[in-house]
Amino acid sequence: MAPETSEYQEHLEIMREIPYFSGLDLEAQKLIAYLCVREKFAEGDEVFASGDLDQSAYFIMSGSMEAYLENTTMIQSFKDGDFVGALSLIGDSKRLFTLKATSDCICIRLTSEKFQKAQEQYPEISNKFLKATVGMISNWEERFIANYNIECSGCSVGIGLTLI
Amino acid sequence: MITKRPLTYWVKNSNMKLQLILLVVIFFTVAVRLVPLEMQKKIINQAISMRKVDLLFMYCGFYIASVVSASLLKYLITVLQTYIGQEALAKMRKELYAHILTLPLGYFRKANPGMVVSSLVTELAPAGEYVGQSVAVPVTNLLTLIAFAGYMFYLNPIMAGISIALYPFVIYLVPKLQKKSNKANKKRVDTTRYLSSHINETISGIHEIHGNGSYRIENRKYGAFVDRLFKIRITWILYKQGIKVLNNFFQNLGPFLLFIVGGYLAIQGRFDLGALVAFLSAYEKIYDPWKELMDFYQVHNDAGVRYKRVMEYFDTKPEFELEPGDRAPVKLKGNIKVQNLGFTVSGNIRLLKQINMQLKPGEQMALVGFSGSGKSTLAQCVSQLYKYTGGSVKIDGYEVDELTKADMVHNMGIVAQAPFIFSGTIKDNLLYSCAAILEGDPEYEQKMPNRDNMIEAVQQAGIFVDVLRFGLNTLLDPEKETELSERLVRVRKNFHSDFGDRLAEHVEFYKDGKYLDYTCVAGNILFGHPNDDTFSGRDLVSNDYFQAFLKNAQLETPLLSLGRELSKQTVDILGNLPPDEVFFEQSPIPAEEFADYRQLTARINDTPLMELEDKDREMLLRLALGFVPGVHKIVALPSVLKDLILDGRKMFNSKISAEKPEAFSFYQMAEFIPSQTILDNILFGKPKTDHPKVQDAINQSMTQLLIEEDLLETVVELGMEFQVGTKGDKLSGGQRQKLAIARTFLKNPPIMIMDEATSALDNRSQNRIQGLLETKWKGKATLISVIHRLDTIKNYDKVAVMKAGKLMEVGPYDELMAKKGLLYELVHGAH
Repeated sequence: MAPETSEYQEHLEIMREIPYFSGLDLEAQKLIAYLCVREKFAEGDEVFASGDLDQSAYFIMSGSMEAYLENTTMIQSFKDGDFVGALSLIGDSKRLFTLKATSDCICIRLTSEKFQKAQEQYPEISNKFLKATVGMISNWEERFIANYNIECSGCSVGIGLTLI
Repeated sequence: MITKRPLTYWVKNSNMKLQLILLVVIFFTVAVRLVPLEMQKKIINQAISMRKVDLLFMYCGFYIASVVSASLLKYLITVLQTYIGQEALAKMRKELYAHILTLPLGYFRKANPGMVVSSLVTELAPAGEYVGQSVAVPVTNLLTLIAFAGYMFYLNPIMAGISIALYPFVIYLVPKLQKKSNKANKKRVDTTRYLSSHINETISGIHEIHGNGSYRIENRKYGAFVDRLFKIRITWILYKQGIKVLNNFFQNLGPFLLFIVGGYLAIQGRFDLGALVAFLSAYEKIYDPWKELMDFYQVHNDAGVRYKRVMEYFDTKPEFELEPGDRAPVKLKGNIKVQNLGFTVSGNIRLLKQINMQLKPGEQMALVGFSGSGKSTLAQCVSQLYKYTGGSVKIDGYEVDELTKADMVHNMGIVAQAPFIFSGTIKDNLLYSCAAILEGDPEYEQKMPNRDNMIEAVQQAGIFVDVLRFGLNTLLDPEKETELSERLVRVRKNFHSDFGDRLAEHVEFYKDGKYLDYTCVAGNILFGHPNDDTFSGRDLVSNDYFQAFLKNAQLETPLLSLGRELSKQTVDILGNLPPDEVFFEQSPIPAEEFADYRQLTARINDTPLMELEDKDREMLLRLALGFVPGVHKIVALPSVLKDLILDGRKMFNSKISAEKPEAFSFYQMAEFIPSQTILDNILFGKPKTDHPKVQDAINQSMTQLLIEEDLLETVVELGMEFQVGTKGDKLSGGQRQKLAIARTFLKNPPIMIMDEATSALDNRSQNRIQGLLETKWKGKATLISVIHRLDTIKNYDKVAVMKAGKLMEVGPYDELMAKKGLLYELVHGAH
């Protein structure tokens, strides 16, 4: 009997596309794919709220989400194929935004606890994950600078993230 | 101190009574050993040559009696020496462990845990063995040697002289050869090490070798090492065997001399035949004690070296006395005064510099600053975890430095940054602090916290819901808990009428005709609770009735195939990972059986399912029957198989109802299911996700329903019996921290030190604990709280800001903020 595709195998496929994990050895990818769990959110559900210490990253398989500041101002929207919350896997900062599902969503969740266990087993994860993260932050700022309006007087407050 | 004791201390302090008995036994043994020699002589001289059968029987009787008793006595010696040695070893292990536990924290930062383990477990073993042998072996063998030699001289001094004359050669030659052999051995070890590192290098660079096709070059390099090792090993083995041969040679040379001299003397009539035989025996037997002495010398050296190394490793003094000895531990109010406190560690690094501060009893202080600024160190110096090197810390006028550990722990509760939870139950860990100070107290039972105290502490620390959850996840024995199980069925009804619809999406209810993704395959087939033990748990798969049913229902082969797929995939992912709870949560193979399945997978790799052996089939079937598709996401359950299983359920139900109606109770809304947890019983189903939000919703409903039935405390009490796993690995980081806080709250000491005690908790829990500290403990317990996040410090009596080991400012929050100093900078983020 030919086995149907399992969630684990689907996760593994996805791991190979997420920049944070795509450079890892197959064994490490397998473990992370195995440790992920599937999560469903209904339209309007809060995935996390500002101030939460939920320590999880989400990959959206289907559906869409929006991040809000102070529950009112929409900051950014996410759709299927997006990976949200990578930083919470390595740090222990609180959430600064609230993430809500704007349609019924299916996600993959990875908790930092499990991620750290995987890191202990495959130390290469730490290094590659950190490099990918720094790359993402730099890209972000590059894009920000490219769109930066030099005339705008209040904008300079938010610039210079990569100078930390 | 134990580490200063020489190895001989343990000999002197070993079981003296046994050592004396041992000596007596040894004297008897040596005496008995001489009897056969004398009998030999008599048998030949008197019985055989005089042709007297009665004498022959008598002497042979003595002979056999002495041989038997010599063996028994030898055994007795071994028993005694083993007992003495192992007793000494147990004592050494206990005392060394007690010593290690008292060593300063700083010591463990440098110490290698592996070394501590191997010291206690393996390295001390030869020392114990040595203590056991230290009297028995040298005394027995020296006495035997002397006795035999004496006997030989008594028989014939000239011949005795000749046979002993060979020994000086052996004594001279053997050590020389031994030295050469040792040298060769050292070379062998070194070369082997080079060889290993070379293999290691080659294997890690294997892609380069394949890429370049440099197989020959690598073979040549490796070959050179192997050839060198070949030569060295030959030399080493030659020396080693040479020693043996030499020993043997001299051993065999003896009889030659004896025959030539003794034979000549016998022919001359100056020596009788019996004496010659006795002489030969004595000569052969002299070799054994000689060898044993040599071996003992080796044990002595080995034990001595290892013992010394272990003791040197732990040769550090504890920083504080454990018990005050002549007085009861002091009772403190919590008036803390720190003056010019300094703490310098090796390398002359000053972690704390000139710290001054003061707290009145019941005052609460927040310690803030960047990481590495010394705030934890300050808390640890005040709580006597570190011995400060300058200035003073006084509590109620007592210098902390001079107080004993007992004084401190009776008055202080510490929640460490990464609190440690030991294996055992939640309750064990909750009572850990209280049990430690009440240890040995005659009123232990009365003074220990009761159930209500524990529940209160658990609530305060915010771990109540978690403990409730553990309680809900336990199994009940309905025969012992009939009343409780009936009440739980009532709770189930209420749940379904009050919450059934609301939680329907997140719970999979037991429903006939539907495949249950969150129940195992076996549960899906049986869909009921076995009243017959041969149908339950692990035994199900070996039950003939059930096996026959599986074949009939055409389920056996697909389940075997599923089992093989599960085993293959799980082993592929978890292959070499440690048995950590996190890795095995979602694994269909439990951690303790993983090694078996790894072997199985390798074994059945290419074997067709039909040709598997019975044992392997059972293992695969068991795995498949335990498979829960909703949890074990490694393998997908084909929908064809689901339908087959549902058909099987119908078949099984009608079959068993007809043939063995009493063996099963099928799932029914009005009946308690003993094989399911309390939660699953109330839900009459299984929760689909462990997402915190869904769990919260379920927990809230449970709390409400259990309160209505007055069962909340009962279930929480069951939850207290939850086993937390090694290092508490079945708890999350937050749960561990809350448990540690609960443990300190339960102890309720006059001084509390909290070192980032709430760092792993979410805002809500953090604020609740903060609120409790302000309302319940302010004015009652002096609190020093090291805080990394600054949003909870406003209501502390004092805030102390540290930077680079110095206390920069102390004062109430508002005052410091108004001053716009360092705290202001920290809060508003200079960065």
